[in-house]
Amino acid sequence: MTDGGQRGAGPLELYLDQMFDRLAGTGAAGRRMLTEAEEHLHEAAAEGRARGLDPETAEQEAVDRFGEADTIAYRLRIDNSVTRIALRRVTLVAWAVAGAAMAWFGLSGGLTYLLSEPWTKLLIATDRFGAHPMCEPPWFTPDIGPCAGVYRMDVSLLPGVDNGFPYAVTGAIGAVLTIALLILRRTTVLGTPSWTPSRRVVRLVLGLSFGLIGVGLVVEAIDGIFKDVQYYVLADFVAGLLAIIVAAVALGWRSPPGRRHFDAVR
Amino acid sequence: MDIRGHIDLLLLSVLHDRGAVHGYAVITALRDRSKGAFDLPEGTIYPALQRLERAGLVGSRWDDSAPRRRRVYELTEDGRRACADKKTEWRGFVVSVQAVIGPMAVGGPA
Repeated sequence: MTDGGQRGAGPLELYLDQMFDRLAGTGAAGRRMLTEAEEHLHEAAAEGRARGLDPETAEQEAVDRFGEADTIAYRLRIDNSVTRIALRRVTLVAWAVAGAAMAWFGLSGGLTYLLSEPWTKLLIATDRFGAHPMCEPPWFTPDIGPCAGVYRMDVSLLPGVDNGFPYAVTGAIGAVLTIALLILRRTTVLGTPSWTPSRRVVRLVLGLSFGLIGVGLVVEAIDGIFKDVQYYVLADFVAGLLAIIVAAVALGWRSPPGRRHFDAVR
Repeated sequence: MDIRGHIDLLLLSVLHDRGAVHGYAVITALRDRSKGAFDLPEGTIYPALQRLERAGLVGSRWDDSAPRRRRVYELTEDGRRACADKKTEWRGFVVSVQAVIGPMAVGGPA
């Protein structure tokens, strides 16, 4: 249809043609808008005729009150932008993943640090170096400090980074990001459907990414035990098992029928 | 009167009071209750209703029982709560503004 109009068509039909053109590409929302516009305009025109207006004047009045087709199509496009909604949802998923990843990495570093002392003592107690025990020369001389303390410094706290990595700060930022997201989802527009990704997508993204990383780290840790290269085994085990726990929680997550209470999307 | 920014509250209030109604009835109620004071293109109400629906505050369905197929809207549970909150927020706003500009003069504008 075009703006050129059709011979004999009244203002209402011409307007609907115009709106049809303006709504091109808006999909289901546009089709619904067109149906509602048609219903509305026919009802408004009927009301005008009931007030004694002639049919053409009644239709023209209904069209005038309804507003410019351009304005309405613009509002509809703004409110139904598929790209905008997709970007919002991707942003939220990225936020959730970043928060969870940073909290996981920080917690892994902290837990590994706490466990590194008993881990080192266990290594010394189960020393398998035979003729040259770990805490005796040539591997170790007492003048450099307590044996367990010295070996503990060799334990990697995190996979893939050195021990200078600020895991505590990273974990704190991750926790703040996660808590902020949970609060904002309950109190702001971030909790609305146009910002809310499919639960299945969130579960799959978190479950698969953390699950694969977790399994990979645990396999590497087991491999390290057999190769007697224990300095990274503890970090791999801790980070791997934590990642598997995160994945399991994500995959088993069922959101409660919670409250979504906020202003509508602007 | 420019009511941009207040459409959500107005639509939620109408739906709260009228129950399940179609778009034309919502617009008629807005016009009648405001005595025609709100000068807005009636067609812009439909995108606003769709937006409220996506926000989970309004539900809708096609009603095929009328001679012409039309969409019927009604508040969800979240919508009812949001409506109450927005009313409280608005009344607080009005009280605050009046405290600044002074109460309405009786018998005409101040």
